[in-house]
Amino acid sequence: MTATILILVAGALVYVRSTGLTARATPPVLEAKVARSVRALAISGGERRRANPVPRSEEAVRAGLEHYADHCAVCHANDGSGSTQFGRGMFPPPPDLRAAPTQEMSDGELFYIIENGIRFTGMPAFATGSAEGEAESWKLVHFIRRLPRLSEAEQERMKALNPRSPEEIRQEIEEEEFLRGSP
Amino acid sequence: MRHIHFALVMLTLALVAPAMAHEGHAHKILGTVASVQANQIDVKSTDGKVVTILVNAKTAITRGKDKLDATALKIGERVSVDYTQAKAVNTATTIKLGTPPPAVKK
Repeated sequence: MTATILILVAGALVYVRSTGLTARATPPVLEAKVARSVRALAISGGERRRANPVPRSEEAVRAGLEHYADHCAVCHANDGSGSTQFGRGMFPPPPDLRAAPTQEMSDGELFYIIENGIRFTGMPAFATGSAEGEAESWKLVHFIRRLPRLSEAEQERMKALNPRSPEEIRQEIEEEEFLRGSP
Repeated sequence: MRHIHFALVMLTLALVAPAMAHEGHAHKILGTVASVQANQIDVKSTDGKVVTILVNAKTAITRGKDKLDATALKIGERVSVDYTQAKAVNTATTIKLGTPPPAVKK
């Protein structure tokens, strides 16, 4: 027993020293699998089986799109790929929401993660404790289902909804004027 | 004994697990294309600095809303290039080409 504890402690020390705990790394396959399994274990069957109480409609998807563009895209990217400056720098990186590991989750699982976040990752909890807040999260679930077939027009609309700092707005105007031929 | 085997396996995995570097810092440059080679361009910025940037299959090249390929890159073109820098190598993620002003009807 003592030997096992010593080996585990030594293993943990080796892991810490060899990785430097840097976020500039790709999670090893085994670590990613273990993390996914643990997260799945953490969500109860009852939560996983919850059905989306917001009927699926274009209006619900549109509301989810607007919410996502404003709150989620900074890490997850408008197209759900996770390829943003923040997303690329995170450990673990945000998953590709269009891919099977996310799309195969139940609506209840997605809702649970949006509301409660995931410890030891960059995913925060967005629960507000209100019925309105929950409805927003369920609409986000509808939008996440749309991500694999998001149209270019929808992505363009999202760009206009993404939060931008005054400096970013200034840079955009400067770029636009330069590309149009301004000196 | 089984616990010790498991711990040894985990220790070995921690030691051999690859830690691949992510992309580097993001940069943007506004300028004109100074030269075009097979898989890279030189961009002369508005303040006269020349930056060599790799162009690969993942680089998104656009003019307005039109998606283009690397053959659209010509010397003298105005460009806005978003690129990442890792280990002193610049790689373009997006290249926006200049758009002529809309024609004025007389």
